[in-house]
Amino acid sequence: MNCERYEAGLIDLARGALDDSGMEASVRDHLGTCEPCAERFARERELTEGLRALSAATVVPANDLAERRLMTAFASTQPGAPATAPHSMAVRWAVWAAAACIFFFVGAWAAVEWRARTPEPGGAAAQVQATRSPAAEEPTPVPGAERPVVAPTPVVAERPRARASRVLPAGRRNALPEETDRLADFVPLPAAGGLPGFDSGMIVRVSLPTASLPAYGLAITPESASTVNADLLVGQDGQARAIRLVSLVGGTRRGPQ
Amino acid sequence: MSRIPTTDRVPDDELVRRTAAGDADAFGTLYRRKRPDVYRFVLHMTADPGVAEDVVQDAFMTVMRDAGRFDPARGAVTPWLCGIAKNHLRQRLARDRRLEPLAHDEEPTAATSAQEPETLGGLIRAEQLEWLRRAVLSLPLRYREVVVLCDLEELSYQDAADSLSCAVGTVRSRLHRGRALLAAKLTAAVAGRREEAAPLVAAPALPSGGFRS
Repeated sequence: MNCERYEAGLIDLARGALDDSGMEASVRDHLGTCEPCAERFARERELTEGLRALSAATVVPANDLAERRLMTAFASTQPGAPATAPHSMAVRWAVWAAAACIFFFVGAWAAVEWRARTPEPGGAAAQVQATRSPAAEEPTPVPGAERPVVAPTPVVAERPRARASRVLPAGRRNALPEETDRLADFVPLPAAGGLPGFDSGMIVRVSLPTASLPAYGLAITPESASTVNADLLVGQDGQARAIRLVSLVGGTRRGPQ
Repeated sequence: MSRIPTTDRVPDDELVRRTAAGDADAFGTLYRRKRPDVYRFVLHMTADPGVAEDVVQDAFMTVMRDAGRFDPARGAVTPWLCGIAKNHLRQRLARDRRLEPLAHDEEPTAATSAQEPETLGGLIRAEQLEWLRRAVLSLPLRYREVVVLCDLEELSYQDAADSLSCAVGTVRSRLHRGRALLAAKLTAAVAGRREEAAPLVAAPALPSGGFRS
C-alpha cells in the first residue's frame, strides 16, 4: 500500500483545504482501508482543531493611540499638508528655534574669531616696523648664525592674536614663566622685510649664540654671556618675523638697540 | 453625529491605491480593517503583545511610504501586509534575542488567557491551548511562519507563499514538516503529563474521615 501518495492529501483534508474532489475521494477511500493513515488523519484533525481554537482565543486589543499616531504621521507625509497635531507643531517650532539659536551663536563666535584674526591696517608688521631700530637696517651677517638653534626646553608656543603687540596679552602670559614681566618689545628681523605681512603664527623660544645677535639687529654688550634666550615671532608661513630678548644667560638681560 | 468614512465598502486593493494617492480616509480604513490580521500574525509568532504593537506600527508606516509599490496582480493585500510585517519582525528578532521562543516554565501571557475559564473543562481546554501555543513558539522560524500563516491565520498556500516570497511547494513542505514537529512536541508533552500524573493515581486512598485522627 503506497501511503506516501496520500500523505499531502491527508493533511490537506484534515485542514479542510483539499479543494480537489477527485483527490478527496481517493484519500477517503485509502483511509477506509489503511488503519495507520486513519489514525494519522485523526491526529491531524485534532491538531487542526486545536490550532483553530488557539486562533479563535487570541484577543486583539484596540489601540486608538496607535491609530491617531499613524494618522498624524500620514498627514505629515503628504506634500503641502499642514501638520494636524498640535504636539507635532510645538515640536517643530522647538526644533526650529533651537536651530536658529545655534546658528546665531555659531555666527557670532565666527565673527569674533574673524575679527580677532584679521590684522588691522598697519597691523603686526607696521607696528613691529615702528619699533625697529635704525641700526638694524643694515645687519652684519654672522657666520654660522643664520638659523637660530631651538632650545629643547622651554619652548613656548602660543597663537598670536591680531597684532604683534597682542601676541602675549597680559592675561595670557602665564604661558611664560617668571621672566615674562621682563620681556622686551619685538624687533623685526632684517630678513623679514620681503616676507608677506604677519597674519598668524606662534612664538618660539630659542637659545642663540651671543655672537649672532648683530645678525638679528641686536647689540652685543660687554657683559653678554656666550648664549642668550630669545623669542622668535614665527609667521603663518613658518618664517620668523621678529625677535625679542628674554634674558641673558649668565648676564644681564639686554633689550634691543 | 459621527462622520461615516466613504471608504468602508471599498475593496482592499483600492484602499491601498488611494493610500498611495494620499487619501487619509483610505489609509485609516485600511488600518482598521487589516490591523487585526497583522497583529494576530505577529502575536502568534512572538507571544509578545508589545512587539506585536510595534511591528504593526512599523508595517503600516511602511505601507504609508510604499503603498505605490503594491501590485494587485502579485497577490492580495493581507498577504502583502503580512509579508511586510514578517520583514519587520525578522529584523526585530535579529536584534533582540529576548524574543526567542519562551521557556516551558513561563506563565501564560495575555495572548491567550484573556478569557478566564470558569469551569474545569474550560480550565483543561485553556491549559491545552497554552501547551499548543508554546509548541508553536518553539518551532524554528521558517516552520513557525507557515504554521501561523496557514493554520492560525488560515491563509491559502498561495497567499502564504506571497507573504513569504517563496514557492507554493516550499510552503506546503514546510507546513507538513512544521505540523509533524508540533505533533511530536505535543505527544511528548502528553506523555510527560501522564508520567507526572501516575504517582497521584497510584497513591493510596485517604481513610474515611480524611486527615482527622
